[in-house]
Amino acid sequence: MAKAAEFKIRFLASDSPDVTTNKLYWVEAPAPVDYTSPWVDVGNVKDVDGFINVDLGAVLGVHQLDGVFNIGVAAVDDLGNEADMSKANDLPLDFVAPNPVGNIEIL
Amino acid sequence: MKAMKLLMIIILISIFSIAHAQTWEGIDHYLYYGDTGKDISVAWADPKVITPEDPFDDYNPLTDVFELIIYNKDRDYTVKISDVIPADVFEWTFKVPKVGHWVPKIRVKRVETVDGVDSIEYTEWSESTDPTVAQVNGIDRGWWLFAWLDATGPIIIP
Repeated sequence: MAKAAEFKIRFLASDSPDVTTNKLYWVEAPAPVDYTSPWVDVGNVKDVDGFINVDLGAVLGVHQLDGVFNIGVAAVDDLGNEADMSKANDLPLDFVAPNPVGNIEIL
Repeated sequence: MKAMKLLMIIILISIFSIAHAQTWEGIDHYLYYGDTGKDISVAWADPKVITPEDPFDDYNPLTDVFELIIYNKDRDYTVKISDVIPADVFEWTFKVPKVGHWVPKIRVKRVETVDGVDSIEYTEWSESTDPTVAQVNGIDRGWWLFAWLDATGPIIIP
């Protein structure tokens, strides 16, 4: 099984006490990322500095992307309300492994 | 203490952001926008100064405290901010806990102990949407709040 490259991002978590999770949205550039874009739940686990860290190469749905993408993250509360989206544009993402080499031959 | 509406002036002294007029139940109110998780401050006048006679002719700072709540108009529920605000404090800072339209309300609570039994009296609620007790920029006018969900920080690629 091929191994995807790491591509880590992080963002400071929302201050709101009722945030339950965060959504990561993506769309292939140059289309703008918005709340209708494909998304995946990336949880709400914070590090000691209050950041949420995400390895895009390990996120289901994102891990097969190959191209230039606009991404966004939005905090979500327990009622499904979503905050303004923090965005990063024109990210070169490539989690598709190259074709494998041929069989090993012993000479 | 008479059970009358608290004739004090509620003033939002620390706004979320911009405000504009929005009609609610046929009355124009000012709407302040902001985020959950951000501090806001609400101020009110000393009732003894505003109405030195009735209904505060017997207003007693030693036994009275302010009780501040916020009412969520969208989902019809109330959140208690504090019911132990000292009677000589006329400003309170708090965070709006959830998204939606909110109306601050305040009243005086008096607790007196007679023969070992607590007796509690309240004035009526004064609310920010009541233009007879609320002000915007020094003008008698109702106001309320709308809070968005506080956003995450920017995306950082280490």
